[in-house]
Amino acid sequence: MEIVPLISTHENTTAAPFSGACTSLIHMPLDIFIEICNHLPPYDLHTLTYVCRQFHYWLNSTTSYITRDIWNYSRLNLDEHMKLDPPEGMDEITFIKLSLIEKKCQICKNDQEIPKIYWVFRVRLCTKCFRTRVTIADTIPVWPRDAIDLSLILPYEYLVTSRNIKKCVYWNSELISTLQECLLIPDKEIGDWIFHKQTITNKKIEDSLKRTKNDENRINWLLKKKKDYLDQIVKTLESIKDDTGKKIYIKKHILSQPIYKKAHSTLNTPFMDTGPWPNLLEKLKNEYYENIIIKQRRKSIIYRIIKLLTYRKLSNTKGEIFINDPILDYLEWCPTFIKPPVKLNDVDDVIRRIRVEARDYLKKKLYRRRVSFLTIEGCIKLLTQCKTCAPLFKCKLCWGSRRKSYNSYDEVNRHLACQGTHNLYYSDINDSLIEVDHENVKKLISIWLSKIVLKKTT
Amino acid sequence: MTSESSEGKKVTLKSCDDVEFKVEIPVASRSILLKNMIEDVGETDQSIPLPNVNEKVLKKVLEWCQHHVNDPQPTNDDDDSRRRNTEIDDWDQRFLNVEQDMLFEIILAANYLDIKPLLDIGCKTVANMIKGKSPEEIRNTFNIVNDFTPEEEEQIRKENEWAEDR
Repeated sequence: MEIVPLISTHENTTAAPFSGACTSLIHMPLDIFIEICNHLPPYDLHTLTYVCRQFHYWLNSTTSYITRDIWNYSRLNLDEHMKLDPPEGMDEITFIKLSLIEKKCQICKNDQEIPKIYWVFRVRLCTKCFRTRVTIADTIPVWPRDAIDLSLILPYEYLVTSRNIKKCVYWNSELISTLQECLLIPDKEIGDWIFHKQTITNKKIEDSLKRTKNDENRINWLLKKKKDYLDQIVKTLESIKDDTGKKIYIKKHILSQPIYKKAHSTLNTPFMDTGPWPNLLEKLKNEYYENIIIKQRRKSIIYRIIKLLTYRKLSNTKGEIFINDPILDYLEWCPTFIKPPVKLNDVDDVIRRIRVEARDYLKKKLYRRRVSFLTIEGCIKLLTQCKTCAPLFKCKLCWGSRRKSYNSYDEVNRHLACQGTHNLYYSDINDSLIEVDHENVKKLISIWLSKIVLKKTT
Repeated sequence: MTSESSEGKKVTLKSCDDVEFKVEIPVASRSILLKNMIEDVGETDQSIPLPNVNEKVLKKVLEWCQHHVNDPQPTNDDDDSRRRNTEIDDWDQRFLNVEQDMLFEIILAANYLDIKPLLDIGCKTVANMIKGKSPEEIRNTFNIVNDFTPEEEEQIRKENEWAEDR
């Protein structure tokens, strides 16, 4: 693709703006762009060429030395098995694309097997496509000039047949073109021609052997490196400790993170430049934080709230939480609860912050306040949310040993309506005869907090 | 100039928005540009103007210099090894955890002031922001406009077909 950056959407690309007016990646001067590229593996350089015209121009020029050097640096320094220079006649970028960036078969784009690079023919193909594009040496019909030994002048590769026999094969198009070329050569020049072809072929095959061997080593090295890298990351995470010397990351949880699982499932391929692999440690840390640490923090906040709710004053500060406390109403929206601070040494301090936020919500009426847990309506809602029954309702008319709590609103109403208990008329029965059992409500709030609210926020 | 002899001596730097910073010489000498300047000029009461760096950035850069004041000066020999090392230490990571404009301004200032290690970690940070992303994700991260025509886009898609990872 030939793309010339005639009009760039990004102005001021040459001057370096220090004033801060337009500091962005696209406005970086070329020398800084090169510095950044020097930290990028070839795959990411390749991605950059497709971001915008300017990067395409900088990274895809076939003539610029700067472009060549960027790619060359990336290949030599970021992959220790890529020290061989491009084969004769191939430029740096094509070479890197063929050997490092492209991963599928060039014809069928199949990714079931890792396609092999046939260096003699300079293609990356799966076995199936390769088979259809080569001619097995034994099957070639009679050569027009029978004195010529094909194996001397035509570069060949080997094809392993289904019976596991190695057969010498020629690239179809090359076979045809050489054949035509041969027919046009005058008799007296045929000797020189054969010699010339022979030299090229020998060179190619020699070069190819070296590269194929290198590729094999490289793939094995990559597979091992990939596995070691993943193991190393787990070890690194495990070795991180908090101020009290306790491990922050637990192996069991690390291994259960989706990103770890994804990385682990791609261990059979040698590629590491996309998917979970780049910056894996950071990604794993973040995911672990999101999935495990935040949950743990929220849990400890909730446990503390429950303690303050049920035992009242635990600390000498004003820490008590009442049933009608705004903390309970607004907890699930409080930013400090949603994203607890990194260090949670003093839970009470965190709760104080949540209290401030909750009061703020109450004042600003940002969210509708929950119906108080002390009212009958609030209790009914609480029961529905918890999907359970609990003795929250009491009959005000009962006293002494007959006084008991009823599991649901219906049940207490049934009790009131029952002839022979308090001898009431239907018209006299109303909510004013029912009261709420505070102690039991508290217990249910604890369950609601630890089960429903915690789940809802995560 | 060794750090012993210049202990306590200070030099004044002036940012482009005319804010002056009094800095100990070893700290300022993290910048090769300033180091050479100080060596050339010798002791002086006059402030060194830095027309390319504003107060906010200079403050940040000096914070880095202060923290790394005892690091060995980089030599040309380990030019490659420093690049190959992809790790950025925790302090630097936190230091560079700033808005993108700021990050690029730090990089530009480090380049201008010739502070190789700072330039390096800055570029490494940017490189890490690029690694493993798709072109679209890179555009979003850095707020870059896609200025290819639809035909070119289609061409790109085709070219990339066999490069995609599984």
